Amino acid sequence: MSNFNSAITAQDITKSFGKLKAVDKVTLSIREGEIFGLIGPDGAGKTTLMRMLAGMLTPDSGDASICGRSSLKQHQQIKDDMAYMSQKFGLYQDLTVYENIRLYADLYDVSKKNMKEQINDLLDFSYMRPFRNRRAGKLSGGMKQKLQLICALVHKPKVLLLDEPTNGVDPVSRRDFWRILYNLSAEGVTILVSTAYLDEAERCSRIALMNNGRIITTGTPSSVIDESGIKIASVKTQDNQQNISKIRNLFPDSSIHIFGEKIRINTSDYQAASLKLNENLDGETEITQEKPMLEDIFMSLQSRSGSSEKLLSMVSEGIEKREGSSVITSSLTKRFGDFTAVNSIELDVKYGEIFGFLGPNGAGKSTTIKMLCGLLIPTSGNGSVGGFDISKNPEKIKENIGYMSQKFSLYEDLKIYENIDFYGGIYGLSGDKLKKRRDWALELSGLKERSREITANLAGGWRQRLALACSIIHSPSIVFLDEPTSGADPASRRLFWDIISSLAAEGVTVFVSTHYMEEAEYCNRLSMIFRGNMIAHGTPFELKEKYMDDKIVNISVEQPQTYIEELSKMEGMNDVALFGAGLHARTSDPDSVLNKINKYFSAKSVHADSKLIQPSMEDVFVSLIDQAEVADA
Amino acid sequence: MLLKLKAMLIKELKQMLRDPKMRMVVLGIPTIQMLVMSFAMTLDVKNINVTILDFDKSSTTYEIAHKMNSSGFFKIESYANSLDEVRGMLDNGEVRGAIVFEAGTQEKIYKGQKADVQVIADGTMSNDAGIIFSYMSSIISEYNMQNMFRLTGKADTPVEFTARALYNENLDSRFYYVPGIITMMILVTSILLTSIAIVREKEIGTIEQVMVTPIGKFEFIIGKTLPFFITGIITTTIMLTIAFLAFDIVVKGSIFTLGLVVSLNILSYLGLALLISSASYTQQQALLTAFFILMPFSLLSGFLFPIDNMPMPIQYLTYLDPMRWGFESITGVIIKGAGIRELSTQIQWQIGHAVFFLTFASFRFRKTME
Repeated sequence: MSNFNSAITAQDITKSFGKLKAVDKVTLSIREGEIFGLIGPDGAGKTTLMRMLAGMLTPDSGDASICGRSSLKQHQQIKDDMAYMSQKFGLYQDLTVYENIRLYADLYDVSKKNMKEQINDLLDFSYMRPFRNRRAGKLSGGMKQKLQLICALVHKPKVLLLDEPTNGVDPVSRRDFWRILYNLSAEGVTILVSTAYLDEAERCSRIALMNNGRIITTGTPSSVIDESGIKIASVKTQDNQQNISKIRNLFPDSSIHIFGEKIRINTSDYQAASLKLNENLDGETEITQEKPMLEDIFMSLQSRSGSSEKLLSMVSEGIEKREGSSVITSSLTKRFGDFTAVNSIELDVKYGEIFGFLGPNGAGKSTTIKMLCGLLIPTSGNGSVGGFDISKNPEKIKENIGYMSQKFSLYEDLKIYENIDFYGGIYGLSGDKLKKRRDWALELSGLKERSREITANLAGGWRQRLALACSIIHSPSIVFLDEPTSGADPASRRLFWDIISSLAAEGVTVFVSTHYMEEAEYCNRLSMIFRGNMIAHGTPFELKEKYMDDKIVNISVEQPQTYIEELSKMEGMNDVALFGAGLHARTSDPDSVLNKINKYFSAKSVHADSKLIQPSMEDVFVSLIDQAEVADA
Repeated sequence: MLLKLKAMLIKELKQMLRDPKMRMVVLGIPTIQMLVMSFAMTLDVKNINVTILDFDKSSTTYEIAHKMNSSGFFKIESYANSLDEVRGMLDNGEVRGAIVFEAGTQEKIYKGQKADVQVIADGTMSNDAGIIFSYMSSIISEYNMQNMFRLTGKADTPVEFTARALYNENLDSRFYYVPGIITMMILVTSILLTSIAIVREKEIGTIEQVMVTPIGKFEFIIGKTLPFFITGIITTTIMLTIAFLAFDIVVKGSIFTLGLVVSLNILSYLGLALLISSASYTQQQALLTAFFILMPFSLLSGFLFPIDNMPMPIQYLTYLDPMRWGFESITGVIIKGAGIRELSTQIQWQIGHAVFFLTFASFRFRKTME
């Protein structure tokens, strides 16, 4: 790549909002045809940087360029070469898919002659043709994002700036979205994408890690991991819940969390760490060194507040310990007109359990949770929460549960402490008790010093912590969280799950829905729900064992997207899809397929590393949904 | 119960008063609008531009024309020379009326014969034209009266007309319009602001979180209503103060009665607005519904068009218009000094409206999401 052209550049670009330096002297150079990932915690300055590159925001100093033209001085001209897709939904809900695309085509002066074919090409390319005449408002989350991308592509831009395009989108739709991005990149389109999903970051040709307005490191995902110097010690113990606090005391400065059946410790010296662990842990332990993931690098960016142990110990303050079943339902059903949103769901959740609810957007997760909270009356079937009937006694339930909705639940125009006081007040707290809980909530959300700020100023992760604190301010013993981590950065997500684990350890039922598949590993038990039906349930381990008849072959190869089509034609191959930086092949006949794959790559003299692996939760999810779709058809 | 209500009230008041734009809407706009509209809205016709086409050019016609000019109702804009010229001036709106004296007017009068004076008025504004005609005829008859003896030698006129207007001796229209505008501003601000109260939370998404708390339906509804009730009373007080300072309008009746009728009036609006708010899904929907309601409410209230002139079925319809009762009782107290006994019908209707709308709104509001 000696004479590459830079499609996107930034030179010492800086932007401040008041005292806050949102972007601080950032210099970037992105090659033509690259997929470049921008990752970093909430409030790192990713959106501000993108907006300046797109010429939508004037930098305080420095300059940027798109295809050789200055974003600062020629921001009108660069619009022809570029498309920017913001986090906000920019489509007209009442127009059909076709009408939306048509509108953007007209806005960009696409010539009328080929417009129709061009739009049809785009619809085929994104598999959106069958939904051509559906109204945008009626599309699922993933399809809306795809439609937005198509609208951005209609004038054939050379550069795409995508700001968290897959936020809140389920894994199946995300795979599809990335397939489109790869194809565009193959056609020479340069893509700059910011994302909160680190498996997506691993698919980028290069990434930049951003924090506090600065770019900390740039490189290929693997070089960023290598250069970080981070080592991961992974420990398997008999009682992880109990041992984790012990380990946290041993390594007060490290980031430590439970992942699957293991505890992962972020350290710079593996040898010393494993010695220390061997000395201090009782019982049977198994310590191994694991390859760090991007998430581990990400976590190391933010030094954990030293009081996290204290924080977690106070989470469950004042909660009454209870035992037995907290949530029971039998054939719980909800219909809206002809549409069955939730179909005969059976649940039995115990106190002290983390119960995960997994499913794509629109599967019926929120509807079920709303019925359990007394916000929706079931069409048929029964249920009880905390011993109260959900149809007959919804108001009683409301006194005993905490609920955090998917929508924003704080008043932006109130100050932080006023939000806490309001929720405390409507839960009937007053005087000293309210004061005590207010301090507790501020501590839990980490906003003690900022309590007099207006809530609108808070960035994503903080808001979610505050919203959680407000929703459990009355110390409920059952908590419903509807996609609490949606859109939060990996560090906030992990803290969130630490809080959830601490609640459960004290006997609280935590009923949580998510579409982050790796988060399913944190749950004690799971239910997968698709088109209103429960298609699987059990522990994470059971789900992987019981529901997967197929085996998974992991293929690590450069440019994985180029092989998908040919590999999927292989005999015995059920599915091939992008996974992280490589491919996952699903097959019922692993031995012969593995053989064929190896032959295929050696015939092409491409270096590829294929091996049989344990399926990930995402593989289980996708395969179950495939099965369900086949059954539906 | 009280705790939760208190939390709700504090939150609502803070939200309302923190936003400078909202403060302006709640307190500033009603007072400004009331000031401007009270000056602008008047049916008194003054300084009507007229032209004189005088074929006689005598001292008598001059005297009559002068009398018109000094009445204050008319202003002689020009003297025309031909009927065509008059027509042109009426066509382009330069004048709204014309007086034509035929040749020999003075001679006819001196001879004791009947002389004709032609009054031409622009009929597009039918109301104004009517007023022009009646002013003119009263000026002419006054002239006749004054000159009866000189011209005919008879001393007495058979019937003399003397008028006295009660409550508003000078027939000054501000005594009618200012209280009327106050009632209209109460209608507009209460309905518009409150109609978005609940639906706004629906749109932002906060309502979901509130509905899952044990807060009761009534605490929620009262918490949403009371702040607007308080601001409604405050704005009304400000408007009454302005009415006194700028227009010399003093409340003739008791302040207590006025407070009672204003409160009842505001309550019935708030109930209706909450009903709109809980039935709507977006703020836009709620505001549009509110606008459609404002129009018939003010047009049928009797403030702009007398109810007695309306066809009977519509007169019955006005019973359902809370502004009708609000207007009648508020102007009644301010101008006539009416008390509770005189206003018993109005007050009963207002209580009926307030109870009906508030109960219906709380019945309609549910703590579930369907």
